[in-house]
Amino acid sequence: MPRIVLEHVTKCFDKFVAVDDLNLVIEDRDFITLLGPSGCGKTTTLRMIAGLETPTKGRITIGDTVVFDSEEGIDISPAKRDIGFLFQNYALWPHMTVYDNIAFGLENLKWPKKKIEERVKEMMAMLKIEQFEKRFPSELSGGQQQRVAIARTLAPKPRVLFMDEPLSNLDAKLRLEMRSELKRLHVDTDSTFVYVTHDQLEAMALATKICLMNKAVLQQYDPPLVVYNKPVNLFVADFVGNPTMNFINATGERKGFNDVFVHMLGKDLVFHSSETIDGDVSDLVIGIRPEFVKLGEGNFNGVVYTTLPSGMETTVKVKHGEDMVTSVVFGSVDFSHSLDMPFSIVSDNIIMFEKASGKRIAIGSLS
Amino acid sequence: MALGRKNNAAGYILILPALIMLAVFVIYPMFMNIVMSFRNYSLLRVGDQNIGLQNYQDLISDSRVWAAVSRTFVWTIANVIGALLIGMGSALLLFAGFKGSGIIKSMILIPWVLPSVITGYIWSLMLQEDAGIITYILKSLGIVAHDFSWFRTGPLSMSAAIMANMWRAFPFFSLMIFAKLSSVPQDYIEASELEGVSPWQRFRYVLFPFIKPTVTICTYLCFIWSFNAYDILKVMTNGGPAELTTTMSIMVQREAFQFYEISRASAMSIIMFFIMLAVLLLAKVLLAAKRRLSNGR
Repeated sequence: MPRIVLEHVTKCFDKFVAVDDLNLVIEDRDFITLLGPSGCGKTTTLRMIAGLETPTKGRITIGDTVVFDSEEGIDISPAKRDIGFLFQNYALWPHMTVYDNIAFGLENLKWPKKKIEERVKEMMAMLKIEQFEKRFPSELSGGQQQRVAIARTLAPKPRVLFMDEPLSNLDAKLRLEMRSELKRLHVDTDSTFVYVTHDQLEAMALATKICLMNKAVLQQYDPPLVVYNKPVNLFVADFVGNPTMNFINATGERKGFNDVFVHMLGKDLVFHSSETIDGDVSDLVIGIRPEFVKLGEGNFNGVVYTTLPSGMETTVKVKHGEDMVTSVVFGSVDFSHSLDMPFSIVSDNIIMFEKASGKRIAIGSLS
Repeated sequence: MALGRKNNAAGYILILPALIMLAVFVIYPMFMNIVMSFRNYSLLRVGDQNIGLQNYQDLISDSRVWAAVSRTFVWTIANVIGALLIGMGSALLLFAGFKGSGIIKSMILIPWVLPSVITGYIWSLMLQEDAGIITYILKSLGIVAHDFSWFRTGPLSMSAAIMANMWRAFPFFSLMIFAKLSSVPQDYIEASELEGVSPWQRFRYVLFPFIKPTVTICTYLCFIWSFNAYDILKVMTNGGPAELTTTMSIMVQREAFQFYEISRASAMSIIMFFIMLAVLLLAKVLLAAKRRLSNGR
């Protein structure tokens, strides 16, 4: 079964490097999201695997077939890579009915007529679009068009399905609905999905593994919770999670292999890690997820800056001297502004970054 | 409300100059054309009177008029088909891109912006039987006989004029279709690439549906322009030899400004107008019927 391997893949547009020496292994039946800010090279990566873009250097393998190799001059056309591609704007043929849209690709693959009919019916049932069989794309809503596009893409039973921000044209409610359907579809179709998005929440919710990129370079490639809990650097920590992680500047001094004296928020604390801390600890950034900041009591004294209730949870920003600390409280509370608010930092998942390089050097607790 | 009415008056005042120009130079001549066609006005006689449909009856029973009508159709159809095919072909070529296609893109409009009289003269020169470059090459390659001339027989004269007119008309198609092709979303082209369609299928199912409205409009326009075209024929063949390239517009011109039979020319131009209208309406009806058929399946 297909396993996609990218080796030293580089893509330059003139002098601009879009993807820089990317090495990536996508295992069979994975649901990978390529995540990153716009212009980070995620779409280019996807398009290179699909064959819509030619890499400048490197080698791409899908299953047992080398589909691209710059040194051996191999470049298999997209149609022969046995893949499906879901476009952001769906790219449904406007002059064909829903049925014909789904059947068109199969006809090109020279499937027998009877099999095409069976498969199209099957796909329409799977995506619940039977009633639109004879309609044209312009007569469908965005969500329905999306379903047709998915049906069309899945119909030839591609080994791998690529999706380029497929949900970004839908309204918020529909997007959530389609998200869960896509995840379900991934299980039902038993194939590999590669999905591009700039929405970290979408990436977290869908993926079995997130490939986070920034400025053409791969930052971290791990399951969502690992990316969330153990970000390798400041960029990853900042990009993933909403509201974003608190970053507090600190100075430190080594106390032993696993412990560092930390001076932050006007207090002297001890950072304890379960593993040996490796790196320069004199200048640090301490990363604290908002859910680890407990309001109400504690040895830090802050003042409420703003409260943003969203129903299920409330984001509270607390000013502590020059620093701003964000906290997430479960449930709905509404603090008045400028209220004195003591807080504590309770977690063994506090992250210590080296300030100069931005790299994570430890995970531990503060006391 | 009062404000609205005041604004309305201002609006009419603003369009008044244009309206006057239109009335004097378009509406009045058109109206007079209709009036003239029912009279026997001629510049060679003093006085004229209303003769009803006499002009029309004369013209309809005149075999020379019908010969001109059929020649007009030959001329128009050949021009529309030729310009459309060359235009679409060159648009696709430009769209595919090749070395130097950028320069061609900006130069392709030259034949179109050249005054058609100039085009006519250039082509007359190139096709001239002794010194014309095209005729000369054809003769030296032995493709045509040594006494060959483009302007001796009707069909050859007609094809010479059609060539010139096609050369003049196709860049418009080219540019319009190319512009439309450039606006085809990249997604569609890539989707077709992924579905592994052949180049012909890509044209048939992906590109053509996009450019179809443009092609339709261009065809209508080309039909009208060719049907009315007068200058290239006038310059190149002047309707000759022996009236074998005389189209309706040449005939109208000759009737009015050579024979000074203003009323007959008016009636002829009105017949021309109705023929054109009939063709366009027929095309519209046929297209609508076809659309209804393909939607109803």
